[in-house]
Amino acid sequence: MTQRPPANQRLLDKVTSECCQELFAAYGFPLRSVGRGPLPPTDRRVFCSVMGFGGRQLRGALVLASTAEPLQSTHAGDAESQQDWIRELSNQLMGRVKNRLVSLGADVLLTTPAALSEESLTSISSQASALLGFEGESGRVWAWIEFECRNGFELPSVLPASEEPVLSEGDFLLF
Amino acid sequence: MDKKILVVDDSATVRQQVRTALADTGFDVIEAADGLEGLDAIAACRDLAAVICDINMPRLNGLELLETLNQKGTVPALPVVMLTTEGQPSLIKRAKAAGARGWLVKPFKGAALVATLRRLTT
Repeated sequence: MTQRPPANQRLLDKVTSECCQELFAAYGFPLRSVGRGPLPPTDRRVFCSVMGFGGRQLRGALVLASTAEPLQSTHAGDAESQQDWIRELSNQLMGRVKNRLVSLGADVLLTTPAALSEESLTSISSQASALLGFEGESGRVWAWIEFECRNGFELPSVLPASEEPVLSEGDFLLF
Repeated sequence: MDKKILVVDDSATVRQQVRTALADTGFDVIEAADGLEGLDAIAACRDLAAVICDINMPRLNGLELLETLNQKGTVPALPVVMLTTEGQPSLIKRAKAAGARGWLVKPFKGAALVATLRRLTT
């Protein structure tokens, strides 16, 4: 399981970007995409959370990072609660991404998220340019999805007709 | 007298959001941070009216908690509602088969949560 087909990467990046903007908009904090780039060195505190995912066809990790302002705007609290909040936001972001992948026929299980925060947090990966950057009314958000696929697996670009619909965010069922 | 609701979620922020949503609506919230704590809380509190439960949690996840309660015969007398990011049909079927009474996909609307609990606890 070592491939990263470019078509899958483009689709996952698109899904991640859309889901990130939808997620923060759902909490009243619209984001606009500012393209790709590394997490810049800064003396501000940056909060970061990582969630893993895996399944028969693909596995990987999603990273969500944010300065304090988007977190404070979507849920007021101290630094400790902001660290918990970005952990939950990464959970909800990965949940949205997963629901889109399941709709496309992928099989995905999620891990539980892990968060950290630090001043002067910066990216050192050779793939730092793969970070998706966003700006809100104040502050910055970054998202990054890295994965590998079972040989030959390609995500379809349109919803397969036979798949059962996946519930959307905010939906509820009573049994 | 307020009805007691147990919220089981590894996010303190989500537990607080549920507490805020249920404030002054006739429900009193107690909390657990994972499935094992949830089982302990259910055993300790005999007058719970309902449980709101996340799925992806450490130590014991929400579906495992639900299935344990089902094996013990605790459901359906104690309504369990899943509050989760998951929307996958196979997971919903699994929860329904184990006796869950509802499924809410995060982020939740407070009014929907209150209406769901009122319907299940009358």
